Amino acid sequence: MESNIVEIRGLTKRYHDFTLHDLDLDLPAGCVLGLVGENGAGKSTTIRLIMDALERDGGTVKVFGVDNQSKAFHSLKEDVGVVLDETFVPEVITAKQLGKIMAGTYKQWDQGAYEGWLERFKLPGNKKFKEYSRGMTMKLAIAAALSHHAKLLLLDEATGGLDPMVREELLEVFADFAAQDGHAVLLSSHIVSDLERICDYIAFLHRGRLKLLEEKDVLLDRYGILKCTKEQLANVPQDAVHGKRVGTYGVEALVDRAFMPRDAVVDRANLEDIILYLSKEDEK
Amino acid sequence: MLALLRKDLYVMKSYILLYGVVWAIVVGMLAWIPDAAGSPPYFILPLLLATIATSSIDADERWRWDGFAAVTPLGPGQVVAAKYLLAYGVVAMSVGIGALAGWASTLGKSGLDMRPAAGLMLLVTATWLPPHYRFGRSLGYFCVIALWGVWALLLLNPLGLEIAGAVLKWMEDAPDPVPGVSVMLALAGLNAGSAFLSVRFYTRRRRGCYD
Repeated sequence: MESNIVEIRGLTKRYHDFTLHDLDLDLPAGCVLGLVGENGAGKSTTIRLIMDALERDGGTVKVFGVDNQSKAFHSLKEDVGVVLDETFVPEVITAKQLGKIMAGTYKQWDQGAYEGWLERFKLPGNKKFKEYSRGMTMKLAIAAALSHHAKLLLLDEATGGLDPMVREELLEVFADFAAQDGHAVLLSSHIVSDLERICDYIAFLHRGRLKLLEEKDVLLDRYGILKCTKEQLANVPQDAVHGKRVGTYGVEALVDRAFMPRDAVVDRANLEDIILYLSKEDEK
Repeated sequence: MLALLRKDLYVMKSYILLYGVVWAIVVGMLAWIPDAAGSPPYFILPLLLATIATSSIDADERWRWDGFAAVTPLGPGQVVAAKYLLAYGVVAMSVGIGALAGWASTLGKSGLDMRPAAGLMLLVTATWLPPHYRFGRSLGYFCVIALWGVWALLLLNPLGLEIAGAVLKWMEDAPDPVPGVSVMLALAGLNAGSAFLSVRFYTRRRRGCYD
């Protein structure tokens, strides 16, 4: 049986203009969970709440089976590598200096591993952080997150704003990490194609609510794209339709294959289609 | 905590060096002037040096360091303690440099009394850090100016309360070492209270309670 590395129940956080509602989420060991949603959907808030970096208004969060508001969780932070969506390194600091700071921050810090990541990512050790590009910045943050023997990686938009080659490289690193025994990755992104490539589970947050949480393969099997005329769509069971796009020459609809007639021709939907249609369905 | 102090030194080292050198020059010149320890030029540099800790808090805010620190094993007490250590380190450095520069420029004579400068820096540390942790950079400075404005008003004595006069008179009349020990105890108490408040404010601020 898979054990859950992260267990979230009824998690609620209220801001004056946004609320994360009653979130339930599990991240099993050995898995990559993709957290997808529009800007402001609650992805970063969720990650900060998992680390107890924000005051929550309700619910519980367990990491490695430990309540994240208990004293025991404080030392467990050693086992969690976090990459936030914003830079945290002062611009006058170099990668080498950051290594020294991190060595005093994490008891499990592995300087050899850090230097290995710097070399692998081709990051100059003596260059000041202000001279780094966005890609280098993210790589440095990831190198730091991977250098204290973490078992859980929480990555907030870690691939955002990067070119495809760098993203490819980083996705490989995350997949390798998750493949190790007892490890897991939570990756938030709005680049759905990245999530489709490496995630085992997809959680879709929309306006602070969990719209779906499903295994990626189940999701891709369940939904399909139906291309037809308006008249043909009218004959499709309405329970099957989860959003549609009306064009000049016909209609495209996201449909649940289970409710479709056997002879209906339904194309494969990719994750981006599913997310887009489901978010539009909510706006209807 | 030493890791945080290291980070602050990396970030603030150019300011510390610059102010330290200028302070040495200023003390070297002031040491020739009788009663210079009470003059405005004597207090300006220590005032600037004392702001290094608050500038370091501002830098953390600018680089979102606190958001990152919140997801690491670094506790709020460690983060705040590192800032106070930085501030006290700067006080010790300033007193050391000042004493040395004063002694060197007067060719081994007593130089300049460093106690008022150290007292001012400790007072600045105690009063400036909590408002920064509670209100952040901009509003924090506003609160500090307001607080010191109130003190200045009390010294100017517009209400005829004679608070400053009474304190000064007591210090003149009291036998040694009572005034010196009293000032030291008052500063120590003020700094302890300040550190307690700073940890409390920082913890709540980091957890988004003031957002």
